[in-house]
Amino acid sequence: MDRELSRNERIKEASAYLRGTLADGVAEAVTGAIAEDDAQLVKFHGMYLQDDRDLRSERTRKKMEKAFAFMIRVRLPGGVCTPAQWLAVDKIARHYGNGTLRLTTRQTFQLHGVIKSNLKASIQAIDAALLTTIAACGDVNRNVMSDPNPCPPRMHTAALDLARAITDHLLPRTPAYREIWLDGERIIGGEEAVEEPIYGKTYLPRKFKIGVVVPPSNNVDIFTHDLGFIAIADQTGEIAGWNVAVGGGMGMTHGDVGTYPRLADVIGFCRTAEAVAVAEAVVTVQRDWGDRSNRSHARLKYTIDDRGLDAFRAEVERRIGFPLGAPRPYSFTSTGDRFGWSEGTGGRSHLTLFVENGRVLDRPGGPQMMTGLRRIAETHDAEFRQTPNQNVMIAGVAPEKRATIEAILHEHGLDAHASLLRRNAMACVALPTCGLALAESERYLPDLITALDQRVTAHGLERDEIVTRMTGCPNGCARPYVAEIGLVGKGPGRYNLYLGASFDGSRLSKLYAEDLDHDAIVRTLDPLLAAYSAEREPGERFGDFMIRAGFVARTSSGREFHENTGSQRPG
Amino acid sequence: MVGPGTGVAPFRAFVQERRALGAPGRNWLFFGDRQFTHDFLYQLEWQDALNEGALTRINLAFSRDTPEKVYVQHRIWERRRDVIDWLDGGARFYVCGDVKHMAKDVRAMLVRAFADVKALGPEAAEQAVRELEDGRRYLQDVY
Repeated sequence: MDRELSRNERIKEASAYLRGTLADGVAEAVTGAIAEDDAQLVKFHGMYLQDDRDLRSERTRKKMEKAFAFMIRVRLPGGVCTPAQWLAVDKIARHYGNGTLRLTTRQTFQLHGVIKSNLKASIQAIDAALLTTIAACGDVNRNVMSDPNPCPPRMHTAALDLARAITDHLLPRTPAYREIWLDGERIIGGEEAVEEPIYGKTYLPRKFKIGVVVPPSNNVDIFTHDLGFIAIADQTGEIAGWNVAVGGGMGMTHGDVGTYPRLADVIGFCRTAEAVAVAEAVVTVQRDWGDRSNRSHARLKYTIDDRGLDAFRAEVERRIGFPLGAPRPYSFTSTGDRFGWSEGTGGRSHLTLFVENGRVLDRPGGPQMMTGLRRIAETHDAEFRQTPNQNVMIAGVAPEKRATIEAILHEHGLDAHASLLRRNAMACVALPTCGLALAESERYLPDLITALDQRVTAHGLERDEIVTRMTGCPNGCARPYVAEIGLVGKGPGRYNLYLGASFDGSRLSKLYAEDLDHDAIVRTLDPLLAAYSAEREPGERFGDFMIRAGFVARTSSGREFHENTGSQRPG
Repeated sequence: MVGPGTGVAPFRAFVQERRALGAPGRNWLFFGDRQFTHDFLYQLEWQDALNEGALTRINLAFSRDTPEKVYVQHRIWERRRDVIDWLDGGARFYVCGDVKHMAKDVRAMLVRAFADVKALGPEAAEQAVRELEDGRRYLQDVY
């Protein structure tokens, strides 16, 4: 690989371990932005420079720069936090953010609308709550996901322990974060003394995502991660070890068939004591083999397709010094959450609440979720767990607290039931804050679901679960290519429709129709829902039916994603 | 130049004039309003003026961006050594805008700044500001 390195590689190289000119840029009061190169580096610190795209033209007229603000993403392995941490983040959002919380598809908090002059205060408050934002974004290991299901409890604990161990092991070691945000002392000339034993000076070629899951639930969408660990139980229900899956990833670019979503391949099995070493080896092979010249070809999935899975596995095994075991049998049922109360151990129970598109807010004249969850956090004494589907679980509720929590939910309008279609839907943030968005997502999906709910009900499917996911661009934050109904923004008000993914997250979808507006989406899906209702076999899922009935071709691997697209049924 | 809110209007003209004339010398603007994002009036012009050297310094106070309210007088206090230094060097102190609170608060803060930086008693500090006024170096257009 002697091709020219991508711009980001030079920025990282010159950044003195992620410092760049961030400290000066953050202090510069006359602009709400930071320098272009620093905007790349700040991601490694868990922040994105964004602007309110709704206001762009108005502000040009007013001779004001774009309405810049930062998105802050917290690092929260497995989505688990204490009530005190929930309260701290809630307070930061109200004081410095836009007054809402966003629960993400990777089980963590995002705060939007934090202006530059409030960044340090926000990060310091996050630090005071024993949380961090380091490596929540950027070309590093991101937030490690873990199955939030409490059952079976020992498996859940093992999964969370592994997620945390991997997180700690793969954290960047640079003191830049402490220096810039927490007023840590900068040691003059100390840059040379920094060691990033795993990442080196230029970190990874691209973002890196890891998940840990406990079958039969695949709520973590394990095949969409660069690296996944699938819990395998022994006969006694204890953890025997982990199947290792590599090479998943969602992102692609419209019109570039060299880019495609890919699902991870299971390459072997390891013991718990070996898992962190396996993670490090997978990360360092990608560090050394990944494409640093072309960022849209830099994820591990392309490294593996270019080098071959066998060569990749062999190199991982060479680095860990032992062969991986043969993959153990496992099976998944669904990627969704179980809503409502479930029983845990020691008489404690867990409540999973639906949070539409992960947006926690007080709706004027509607449900007061921000306030309601704050009230619960004030009385609750165990944990909050964010789910991979942007929902929240109030975990470990003592029997005597159940009534209190239910009363708070009722009082704040949080006990209404959403339709099954809505509960199985999720959207990325998109407009107005995300710089990548080509179309609406979070702000539009609720209306689309309302329209689709009518068609679903008309065809008698209101008791069926169908997974719908929408993103404002093809990068795939809401994992649309493993949704049974995937909608990906193409331009303002226009979406590509993907169908044929499996309900358990084990098969990618296929492009069915392009550039659909709202009416066309409903018009296109209506006959498919009708056919599903009339022709399906018992227990057959919508995504599976789409393929069996011949509406779309099956996608068996990422490289086939762009082949045989479009409707496969004449007329 | 201390011109929060619409009080910034004459200073925009000051800076435009100095730029047109290629005026040498230094100038310093304290601007404030409610929110950085929505109320930073003529933001792009101030950025250009800074880049071109038509404006030497700017300090900003946005009162609604944080739980604690911050006004221009607080920014003057934070930089009181430089402010007094500039005045000792012959600078003029212009104030434009709200007569009810801002103008009084800014003047009181300048008195405090003199007292602190020059280790003066309250009366001597008051006298220092009065001398500026008498010498037409503390000038106000407040309403």
